Amino acid sequence: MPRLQDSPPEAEFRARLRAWLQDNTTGITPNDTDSLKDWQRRLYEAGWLGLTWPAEYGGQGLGFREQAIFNEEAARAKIPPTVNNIGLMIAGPALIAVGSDEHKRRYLKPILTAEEIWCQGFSEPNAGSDLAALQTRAVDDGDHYVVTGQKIWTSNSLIADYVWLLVRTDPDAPRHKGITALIVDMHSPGVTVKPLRQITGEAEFGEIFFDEVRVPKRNRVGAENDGWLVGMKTFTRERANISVSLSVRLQQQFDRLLDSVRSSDVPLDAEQARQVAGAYVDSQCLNLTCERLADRLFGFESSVVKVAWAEMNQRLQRIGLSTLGPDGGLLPQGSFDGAASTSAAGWQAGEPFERSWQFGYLRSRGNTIEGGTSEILRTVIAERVLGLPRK
Amino acid sequence: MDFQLTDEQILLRDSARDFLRQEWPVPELRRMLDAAEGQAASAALWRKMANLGWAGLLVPEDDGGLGLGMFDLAVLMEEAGAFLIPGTLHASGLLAAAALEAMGTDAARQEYLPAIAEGEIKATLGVYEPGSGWTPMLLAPRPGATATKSFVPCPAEADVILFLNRSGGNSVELSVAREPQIEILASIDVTRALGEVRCPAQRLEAIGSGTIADLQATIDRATIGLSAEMVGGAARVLKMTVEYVKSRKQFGRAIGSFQAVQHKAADMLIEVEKGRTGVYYAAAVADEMPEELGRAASIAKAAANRAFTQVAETGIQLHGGLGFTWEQDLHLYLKRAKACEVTYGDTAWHLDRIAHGLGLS
Repeated sequence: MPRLQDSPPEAEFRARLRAWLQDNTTGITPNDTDSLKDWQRRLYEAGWLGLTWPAEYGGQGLGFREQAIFNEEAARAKIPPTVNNIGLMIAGPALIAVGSDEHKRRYLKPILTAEEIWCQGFSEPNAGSDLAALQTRAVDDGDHYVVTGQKIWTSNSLIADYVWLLVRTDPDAPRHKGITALIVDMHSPGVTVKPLRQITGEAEFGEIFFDEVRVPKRNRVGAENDGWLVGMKTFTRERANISVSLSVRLQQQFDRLLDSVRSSDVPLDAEQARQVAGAYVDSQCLNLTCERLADRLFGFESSVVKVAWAEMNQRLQRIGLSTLGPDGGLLPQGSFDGAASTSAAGWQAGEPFERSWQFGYLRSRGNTIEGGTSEILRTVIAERVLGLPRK
Repeated sequence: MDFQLTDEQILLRDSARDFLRQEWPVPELRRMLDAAEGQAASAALWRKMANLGWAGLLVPEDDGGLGLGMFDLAVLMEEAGAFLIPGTLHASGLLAAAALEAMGTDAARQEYLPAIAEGEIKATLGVYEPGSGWTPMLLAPRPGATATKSFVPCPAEADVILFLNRSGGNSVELSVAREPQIEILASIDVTRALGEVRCPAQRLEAIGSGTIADLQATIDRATIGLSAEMVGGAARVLKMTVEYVKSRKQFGRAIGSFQAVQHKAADMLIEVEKGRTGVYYAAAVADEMPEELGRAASIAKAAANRAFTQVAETGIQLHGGLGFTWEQDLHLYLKRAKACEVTYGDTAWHLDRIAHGLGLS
């Protein structure tokens, strides 16, 4: 039944969570991977992570309602990021969907505790939006595959312990039919990682090079040459989970915008006030759409939310930057010194540049590219949700 | 928070859709393009809708209605908007009924609400005055010798025309306008009549009273109902457009396979989904948290304004030359969108109200 207010068990869950967050979100160093790992572990041990993951693999076995409450409260409490976000949002949910029982037992819990950090190796220099063009080769060698190739735009690759990897196992098959999904230990001989510097100056992602890396066959997820399907299931989960977690960020960004506007010496003119109010309407509607479509977000509907979120965040950042007036063209005081940081936590972390509208604006340009460009996703929406014909 | 429809709401939605497909198909709708034909068509539909209890959906059971909530109403009005039904249901079952329920005396409620709920009478409500815009505090503090109400929905078809006048300060008076003078306004949207109604002060018979806040709450409920119709209209245009671009072929292939077309269609869906969320949210607020009604109604209206106009405009574009013709129905939706967009506050009005609520102005 449609309702806005929490049921009694939901209200109890929310109250417990709020109290816990109030007492436990201090003393975390945003750019320090160990500190962030410790924060994620504490979050998990208190029972707030893996809310919808099966209990038998270390999750909480709860429903989407609790996840939504967590998101709301996390936004409200402005909690630090979870360092293993690729594991939590992409690799873990994909493993739950397509992994074997052995994989789930082995890998899921350390994802939750941040003992093992994950990254996702899909894109390559010549396989971006056209993912099926990927060329990283895996050659059969008895009970191992031997992997050679290169991945790019890999978030968290610099600190990752495992990579959720797509490789080509059959170069002669039609291109969607020769791909396989593997779990690869980033500490294996032959794996090297190079940071990639972004327009913000930091290096949130990197390149991974594989030089005859031996991967046990038990690390294959799904059947050999069935990796395209695994990849697609990964994508829908990625977009769904990103969409959901983005509601948190959007709320935080909007609250930040309000704080910034209210604390400014210069009052907004009527047109600026309308812009902010318009952003409020759209971000509210978008956040609530995530909740309304929750049970469809593991399908292609996730693309609807992801496209809308990316453009919404860009709009918020533009407005935020504009509230600075002429100062918007300057770097904020004490900002980055030009050295590429290897910040593990990404763009939410750090003071003060990474908390500035200048940074947020620049970082938001990536939102319509990462996790599927808005162009690709609009095509997905048209063809998979609206049922328009493919070329 | 939960936006899942109940079984009853799904039944209401599906039965409304089946009913309107049967009783208000395009040939019936197009009778509205001729004034006299339109009145006959609208009256015929009214009797059938009344038999289903739609006019009394919100009216409390004690007053002879179904006693349902705003969320139920939103579900129904979304379907109503998809078929562009005439404005009588909105005017009588929502606007006038809400004013009577909020501000009518017991006697007035007893006299009018059961008859409205049964569909025996069609009522409407005049609130705004020439020059007041949509801001209640700009209403004349006291009516002069003649009260004039503008943008009154469906006055010619109404059996009872109610007025809400400021009676000084924050007080308002609800009255019946006896033998008013009606001038039909030439709305861009012929499927939904509007008029200017004049009534000498001595022929205004008081039947209730309230405050400016009661007045605004009545309008806010009407706004949510209107927004639901708008989102329903937008969803229908999207559906028509998807069907068209799937079948229309150029360059030897369906135009829906071209990315330039696909991406516009995707944007239409995004707007529809956001608009629908805004409406459902506001309807749930109206039912559960009336203290937040104003902000929620403005969210719904601002989202619906954007969704319906953008979707109707894009729908015409994607239909090409055909979309620009009188014979194709899309212009009826575009005109509905533009007429609704300025009803009960345009986007700027609602954004100003939200900005004020957020402490930005």
